[in-house]
Amino acid sequence: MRIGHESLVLALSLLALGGAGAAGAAEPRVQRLAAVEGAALHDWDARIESMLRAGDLQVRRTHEDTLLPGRQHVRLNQAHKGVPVYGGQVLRQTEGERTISVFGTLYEGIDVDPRPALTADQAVAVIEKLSGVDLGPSRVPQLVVYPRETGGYVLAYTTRAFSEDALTRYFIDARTGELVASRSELETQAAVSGTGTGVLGDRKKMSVRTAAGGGFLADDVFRPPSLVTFDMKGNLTRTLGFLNGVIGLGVSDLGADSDNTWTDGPVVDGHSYAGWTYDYYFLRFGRRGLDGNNLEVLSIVHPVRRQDLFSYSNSVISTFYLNAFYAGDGVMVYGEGLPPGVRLTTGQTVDYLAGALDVVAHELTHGVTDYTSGLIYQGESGALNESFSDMMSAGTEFYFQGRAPGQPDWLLGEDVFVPGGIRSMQNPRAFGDPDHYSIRFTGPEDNGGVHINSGIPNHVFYLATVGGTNRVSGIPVTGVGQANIEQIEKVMYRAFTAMMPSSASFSTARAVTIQSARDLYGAGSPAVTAVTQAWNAVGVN
Amino acid sequence: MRSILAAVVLSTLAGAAGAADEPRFTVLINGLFAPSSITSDSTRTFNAFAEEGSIEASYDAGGGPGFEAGIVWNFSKSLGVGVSGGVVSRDTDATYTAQVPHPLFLSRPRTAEGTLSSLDYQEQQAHLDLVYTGHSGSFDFSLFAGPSYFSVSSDLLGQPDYDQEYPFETITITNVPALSFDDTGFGFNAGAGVGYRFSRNFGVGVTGRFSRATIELVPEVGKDAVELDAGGFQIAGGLRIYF
Repeated sequence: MRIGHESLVLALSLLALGGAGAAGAAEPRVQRLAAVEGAALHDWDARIESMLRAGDLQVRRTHEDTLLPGRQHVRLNQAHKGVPVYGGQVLRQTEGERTISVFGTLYEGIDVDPRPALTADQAVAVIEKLSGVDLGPSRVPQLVVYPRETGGYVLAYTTRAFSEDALTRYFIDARTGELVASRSELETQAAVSGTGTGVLGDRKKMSVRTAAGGGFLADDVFRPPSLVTFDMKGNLTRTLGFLNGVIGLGVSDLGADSDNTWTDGPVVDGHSYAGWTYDYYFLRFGRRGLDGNNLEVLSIVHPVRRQDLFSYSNSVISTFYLNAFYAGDGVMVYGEGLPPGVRLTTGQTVDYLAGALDVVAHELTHGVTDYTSGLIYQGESGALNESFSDMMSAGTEFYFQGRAPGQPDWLLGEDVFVPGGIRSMQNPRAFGDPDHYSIRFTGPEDNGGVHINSGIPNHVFYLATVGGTNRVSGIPVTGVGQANIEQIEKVMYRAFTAMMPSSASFSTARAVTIQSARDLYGAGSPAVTAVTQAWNAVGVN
Repeated sequence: MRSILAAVVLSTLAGAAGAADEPRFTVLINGLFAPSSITSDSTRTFNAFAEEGSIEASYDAGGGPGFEAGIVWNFSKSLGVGVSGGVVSRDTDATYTAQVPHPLFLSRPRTAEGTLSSLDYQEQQAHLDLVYTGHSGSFDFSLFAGPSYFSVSSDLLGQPDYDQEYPFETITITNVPALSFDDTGFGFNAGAGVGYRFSRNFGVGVTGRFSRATIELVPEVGKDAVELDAGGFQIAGGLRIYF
């Protein structure tokens, strides 16, 4: 098992998420459109033109794309006989005469008389009575066609009313004066601490926010960057749609809990460990997030369902069950693990990958590498890329010693790949990985052995810290000592984020890390000695 | 709000009551000073960031001034019954240690310490005493003892306000609210006094009294009770009126 970070590319040009509704002329039929190419895009483009001519779509706003010159975005509101349809909206992206994409929601089958029986003043009186507040003359209710959640459409007046503790939007039947619907629109983001139980049954604190309609959302408002965790509820189609930029994720996709005592382990761990990793980088190195500028981190858990394991291809199983990966731009995806009773050929069970702090830190470090050295994911530079993630994940685990479940160690993924984990920095050979340059992997697989040859610099990190003798060379290393692991972490962090070229070889890494140690601790310092001896011991000169 | 106790006091220095021409009543109006301090400790808890925080405080209510008034009815030459009431105010200093839970991690409270001064402490006392009085010329000497009733109002520290910023390793206390709590209790008092009568109906005198009652201030029902010993030694002096 390897933890890779390659993102999948899947060309989804159209997502028909809604589809036609059921029976009855009054039954609301909703079309959720997401067309980016092919016939679907052409058809929707033509239909939008037709609706514009008929007045069923009205231009609400047009603006130029500030990031892509020449692109224009038009927001169109749906109307029925001149009355806006609540929630009916289309966004069309164009470049000159060419339509690039169309997204939106349209309601069909509307059969509503647009003439109200009530005046706006009468509707205001109803809302005032319901809300207990007086509305001023500027608070004129808008006449809309409202798609009922229970089916059908109704002509309604709508406006919002502020009370001392709520902001509520009311929909009043424009014929009968009855309340059709009301909802809170108070969009607060109060930072709240909750508690949760992680994958391994450990209790930890959750940094979340309150939801407008009650409950709590996995949106960390305490830490400087936005750290949000989405629960895909096993919907791989939506997961892929998001990863490919076809759909966006909203508040309803966020991990949620009603009483702030969180029990969904992957949500708890994926969310909190992203924060812990941010903390580690900040507190250890003063770094602010993946890009150094508080890049938003979006963690995705439950991309698939465990019970669907056997209905998927090996590639899906490998990627979305047995792996965690950094998908770029601050997006993390955590595999679902295996159902109870199902084991790998190694005999290991696999738990939710979000449940391992070192896995989370490993993947997020790929983001740091993306924004710093950009180590090319092939051959020795790729192995260095992997190794740096392993180094920082071990550092994170030791940093949070006593707060994360289990004991910190030099294993990778041992909390979820049980027993044993997937790699060892102390003894790479235990997993078949090389611990000396002379036995490095030279085949084409695994991008030239990026997850295999990482064992060599991983062992350097271990030897420089703890000390010991390399199994192959027999060369002893005097480490700085476990208590001084911070020194080696800083040497490596500085070397890998500020000094390492993207195509670095192991030999380059040796020179860069020794120089980093010299700069930080002085020539002849224990750190310089340890790092130099460690590279010597693994045969990299 | 508690009621103000009746401002009547006994001073021990009632005039001689035994003789037929002696006044049977003595009214006393005193200023007083309570030199001894009253100390107490409190631990108040509060919920913050899904955990329980606390503020532990030690209070030192220093000596303070007051006044008292009373009356003694001498039912024999040497014995009488007196009732008195008074009020003592003290400035209180508090040192505190606040532990505020971490917003991101369990069991990692941030600690801050500080001091506060000029907290309010006020005790109202009422005493019922048996009074023994002796006479020597224009001087009266008295001994007295009896039960006491105390009503104490004291400031206790509440949940602190603080500033914090990421990574939230420390907090800076910006304000600790002082919240007033009160309780009543019964105790005892005993003392002695001396008076000098410079006319048939007027005189002056001083009194020394020790009193004590255990008071329990309860900020929240069922938790965080603060126990203190009210009273202590006080010395008073003032006008005597005989009739």
